[in-house]
Amino acid sequence: MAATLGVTITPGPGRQTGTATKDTNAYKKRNTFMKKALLFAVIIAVLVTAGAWVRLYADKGPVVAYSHPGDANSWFKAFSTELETEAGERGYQYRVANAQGKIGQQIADVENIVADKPEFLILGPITPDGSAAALDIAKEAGVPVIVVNRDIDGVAGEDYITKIYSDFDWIGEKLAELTHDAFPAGTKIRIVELHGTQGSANTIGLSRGFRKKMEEYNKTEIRMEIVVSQPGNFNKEIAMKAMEKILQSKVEFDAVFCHFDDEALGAIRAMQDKGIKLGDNPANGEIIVVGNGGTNDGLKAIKDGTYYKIVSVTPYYADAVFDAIESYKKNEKLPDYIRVGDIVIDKSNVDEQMSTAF
Amino acid sequence: MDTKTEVTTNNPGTASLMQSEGPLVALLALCVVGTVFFPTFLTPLNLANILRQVSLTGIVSIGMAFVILSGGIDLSVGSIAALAAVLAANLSGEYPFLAVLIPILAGIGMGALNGLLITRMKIPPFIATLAMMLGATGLAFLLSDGESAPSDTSGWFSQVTNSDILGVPCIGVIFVLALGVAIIVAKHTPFGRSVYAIGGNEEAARMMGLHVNRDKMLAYMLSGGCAATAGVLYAARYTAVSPGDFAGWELTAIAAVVISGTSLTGGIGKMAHVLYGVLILGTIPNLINKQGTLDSHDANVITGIVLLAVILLQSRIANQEEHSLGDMA
Repeated sequence: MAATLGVTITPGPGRQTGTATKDTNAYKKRNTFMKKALLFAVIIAVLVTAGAWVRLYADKGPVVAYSHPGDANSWFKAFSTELETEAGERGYQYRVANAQGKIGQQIADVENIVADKPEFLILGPITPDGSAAALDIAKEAGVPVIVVNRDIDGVAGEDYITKIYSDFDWIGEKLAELTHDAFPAGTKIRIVELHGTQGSANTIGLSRGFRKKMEEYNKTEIRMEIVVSQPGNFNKEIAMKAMEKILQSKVEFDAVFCHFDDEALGAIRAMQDKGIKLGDNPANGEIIVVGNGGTNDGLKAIKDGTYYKIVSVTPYYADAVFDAIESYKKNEKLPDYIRVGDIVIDKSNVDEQMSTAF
Repeated sequence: MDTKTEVTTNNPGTASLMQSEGPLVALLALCVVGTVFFPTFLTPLNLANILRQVSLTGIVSIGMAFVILSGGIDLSVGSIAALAAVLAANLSGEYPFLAVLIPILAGIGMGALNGLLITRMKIPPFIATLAMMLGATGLAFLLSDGESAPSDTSGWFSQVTNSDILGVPCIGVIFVLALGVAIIVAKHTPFGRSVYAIGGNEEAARMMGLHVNRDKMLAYMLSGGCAATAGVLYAARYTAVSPGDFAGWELTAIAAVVISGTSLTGGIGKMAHVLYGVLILGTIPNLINKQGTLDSHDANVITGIVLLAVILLQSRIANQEEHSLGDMA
């Protein structure tokens, strides 16, 4: 390198016969240019070496790629971390692309991923209809897809291998059952519902399941009734404001059903501010709060006794995802839908469940 | 005097190439990085993917380039694209022809409204187009009921948009053709020359007898039309359109134009270089995707750093050019 530099500079002194200004100017200009060229060459050399090194050590087994829908919350953080760990333990190389909630971005992510022919694509749909286009792209490239997190439009066994996520209808039914069982037989239960973002798969499933179970109970003499249903958008602040308005309107109620822990925490806060008693005994005039979740703060509220019971929506099912991948590789028949097992969290098991909180 | 001339002629050809083709150098550097690190980077499929993925924001950038060259800014392009896409999605089932025509006309109309606010009411472009951005986004959400609007992609327009010609995505061909037309318009038409003159010095352009107001209006109409076209193509490409998908498009378009070496104060810049700006912005996420272990926040930070590096390179080169011009004088 130094030699090259020397050689190129040599024309400089050759022109020393000219005026002094001319010489220094020309020399300086050429010198800086050569310095830049040298720097550029060094950068390229470093890159090539780094690239060779990376390629040499990059081969960590077959690739599984996760197309992350981009929801920025603790649930998805726990889910993708677990997926990455599980991939490493089972000898797969993990790759992730975050769509930041934009369909166009998710489609682009999947185009880029399948161009590199990974062994599997794990797809977390943003919306059932919008994300369905990703299935076509993967099918065309011959990359098998496992759908996680939420539902998608498509046919199992044809457009994707299987779907794995929590059964929100079941969670809704379970929450209705817990609410019902908290009250003595024959009581009328007036319920406030704080639901999730309109149109999302969770909101639809939870509402449907809860109402279905309610109708079953309403066949006997006990009557469960939803007196108010307001959006809480899975958000603490919005749920708190909604509950404040409900309290101002003087609607009487006995129980609160929330689609997510954060909504329950917002509602609890609003009720505490008004001096309303919360707990597990309606006979003492305590309001019963149930919800879907499993967050750190949700479990703390269970311990405090302000939050009655949670039905979990666990983010820890990476093992089920990789079990499905391995069954598929062994040509075993897989069900169209694999239900993630969720549990009831209350005072009796909150301590042992603390480690699973997200 | 004669010393100076000799210095400039002594300057090697490569240096002047660096000066005029800064964005190209930056793009090539990114491609070198990509090729070195990822074996699948320099494959026809991957390059076709990049072209397909940049073409929509690329079309928006063309309109944006005219506005910025004229010394203005258009923050409403993302919202106009969103509104056009929702309109196109709603019309796509029953009226496939109107689904293309009406949104584009609406986009041109909104651009005209921007132009009127700026030229007649003398509202600064930043404020006028910000108001349009808020209004159009609101309208798009109202029309789609806050959810994603299903789009019928079975019609001929969608089929064409989604097909490939010899492995080259049609949507990319549309972008490149549009850019070709824009290059000719910018260089060889009275309107194009007028846009440069207005951006350079609006008062001088007015005194030279150019139709300053008319041509500024036209630039905003062009920008609105380009944005709406991109929105229509989006609806033709995806089966569901959500207004939220277009958030940040205006920033991508502005970034592409700035990276291409166009001065934000107007008057300076090459339309052809918009291609490099657009491709640079498409290559960075492609590389991040291939890297595959970065979460979205890391990816955003890296994109920011690379953009800053490219823009610094740009401005250094521009400064050098100014200095050497200074030497000449």
